[in-house]
Amino acid sequence: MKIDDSTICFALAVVLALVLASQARAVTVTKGDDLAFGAVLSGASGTVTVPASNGPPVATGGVLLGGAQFPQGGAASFDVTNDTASPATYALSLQASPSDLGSAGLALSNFALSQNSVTLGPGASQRIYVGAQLTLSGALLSSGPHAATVPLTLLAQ
Amino acid sequence: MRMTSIAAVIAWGCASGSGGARAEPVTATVGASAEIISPAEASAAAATRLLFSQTPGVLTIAIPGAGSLALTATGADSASGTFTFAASAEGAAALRALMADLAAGASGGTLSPGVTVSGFLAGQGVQLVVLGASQGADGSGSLRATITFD
Repeated sequence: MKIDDSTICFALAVVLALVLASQARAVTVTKGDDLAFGAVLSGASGTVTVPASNGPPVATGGVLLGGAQFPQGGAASFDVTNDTASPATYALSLQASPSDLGSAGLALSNFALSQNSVTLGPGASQRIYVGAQLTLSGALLSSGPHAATVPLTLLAQ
Repeated sequence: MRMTSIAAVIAWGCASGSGGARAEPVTATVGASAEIISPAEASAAAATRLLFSQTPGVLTIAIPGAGSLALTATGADSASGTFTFAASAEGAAALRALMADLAAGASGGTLSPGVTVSGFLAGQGVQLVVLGASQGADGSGSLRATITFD
């Protein structure tokens, strides 16, 4: 078999194409802030809702403590980046079912995304937010931080 | 020129295929958290020696000359930072004594809703607002009140 210049060029082209293709992931999701409900009162009953619009937490039952001395709540955030060389639209859906923050007295529910789809140009990114609701049963809880790891799945289509 | 053209075509095809019709899930994790505060802990910074709590959610106030008063947390106002407690019948009687001490007898220890007393107790500024009260014939009863210290 004779190997001439055109064969070498073709082989190099295939190698280059495979490298480029391996680097062209469709979408990247980078976590920003965690979801925080702020400071809540042990022994009280009510809800704390962190809106997916990234607004301030809203409480019922007077369970949320305000003031600069207490940690403030806020939505979780993600940056979605289009890694392709062309514009793309991604459908976003949240598939998470955490039940509580490590205690039955701190129930989690109503996870929500700030938007269900995002259209991005090549290399562009956009921040999306995740909100949820925390329900306090009125049970006495040990003081200190209560946390859970929430698995999220974003379906990019 | 030929190499460039072929590479561009193949790269476009791969990128288009992975970015256009791809439905693979992208997974990530996020932390969710809340800081749990017990009433005594929340007010300890300002209330110093007037407050201590042996049980989470229960606030115990030492009243000079009148024993102690145990209050159970029932809620808090996020705007004002005040806490709401419920007192037992015995606690209500002790609270009346506290109110009389605070206001130098001006309130007479009245447990009517809306009654507000404030003053100093052992050098500590205290304000007490009665939200609801129920008293029996023997003078005992139960109540809801907010207590703030500064």
